[in-house]
Amino acid sequence: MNISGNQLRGHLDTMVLSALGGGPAHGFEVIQRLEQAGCGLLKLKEGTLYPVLYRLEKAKLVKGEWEKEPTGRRGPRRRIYRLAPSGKRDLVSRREQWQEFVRVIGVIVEGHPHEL
Amino acid sequence: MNYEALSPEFDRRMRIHVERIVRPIAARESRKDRMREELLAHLTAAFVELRADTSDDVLALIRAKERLGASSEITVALRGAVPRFERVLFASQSGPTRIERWAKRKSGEAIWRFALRNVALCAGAMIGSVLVAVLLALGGVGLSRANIGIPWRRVGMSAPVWFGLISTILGAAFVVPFLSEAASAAWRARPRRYLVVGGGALTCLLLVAVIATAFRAAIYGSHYWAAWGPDLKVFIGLVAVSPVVFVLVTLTAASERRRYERWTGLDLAEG
Repeated sequence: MNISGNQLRGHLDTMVLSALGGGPAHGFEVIQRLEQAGCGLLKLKEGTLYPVLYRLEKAKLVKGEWEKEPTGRRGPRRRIYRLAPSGKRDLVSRREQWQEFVRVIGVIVEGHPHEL
Repeated sequence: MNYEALSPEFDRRMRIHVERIVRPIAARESRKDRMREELLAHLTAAFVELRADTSDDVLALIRAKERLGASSEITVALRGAVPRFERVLFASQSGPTRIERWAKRKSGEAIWRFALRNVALCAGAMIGSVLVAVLLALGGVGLSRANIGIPWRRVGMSAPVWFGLISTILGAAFVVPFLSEAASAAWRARPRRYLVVGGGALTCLLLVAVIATAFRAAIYGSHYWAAWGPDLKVFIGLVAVSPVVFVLVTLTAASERRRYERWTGLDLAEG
């Protein structure tokens, strides 16, 4: 079973924040982290990551800066993103909300609403 | 990752793909440049990774583009990341209008042909302005001469003055494309660059002086040389400032052009 971009809509911001929780990364690396964490089941249209990063940067949840000097590589400049302090706090809050969301939806989908 | 063996041809194809995504976005050029750089870095990294797996450059590029997603979808998503005010402000730059397409030099078009088209465009604009003025007058909009604040009784502009004024404007329309072409060609060599900018500034000063003189002659008629009214300061100021404005505008435009031309100069019909 593959998880497509449509199913991820609404969760992508949290997923990107979470991927950046593992340390600073450029866009391609964020995608790699997400794919690794998704065990190859995530099928993202990679170009749609950048509007998410721009949105998070505008909300001051992540900070982006151009790579100073491409060490040992030739190629286009990359922008490295890292979690801002407010992004770290936001991620903690989003994780809590997500756990609650999964618990509630899981109970409903599995047919045990009395457990709520 | 091995970027060493990335051929210029594949680099160009990737740039064209990225530019197809970014060009239709209405945003300031610096924001679009950032998008281009990031998308190109991403596409290149995907291409290098896939090429290591497939050993087939063409196939790797196709797959890298597929992984990035449909151009139109990414364009729409990126548009959403541009502030609304900026989108409105730069709306006209997202795609050329018919007039802009007509006014721009076409690929491979001879410079003299483009200069003549430019003259025709200016002439058309002048005829259009006269027609609008006539229509407004016929419609009785109420633009009275007294409202405009110029001593219109003395306007009786003679035919030679009109002829001189119109010829100057059309002559400028013909000269400017050549000047712009020369400036672009000379830009990389400093002495020639300064020569072109200096020559352009001088031409600009002369043109403004001729046009302003024609207007003053039109207003004061035979009293022209005797009329040292307060507008003379405005006249001198206008003529003096014009080359400065020309130099500033030319330098800014050239610097913008040089900065973004590797992207904006790409022909999207290729690749």
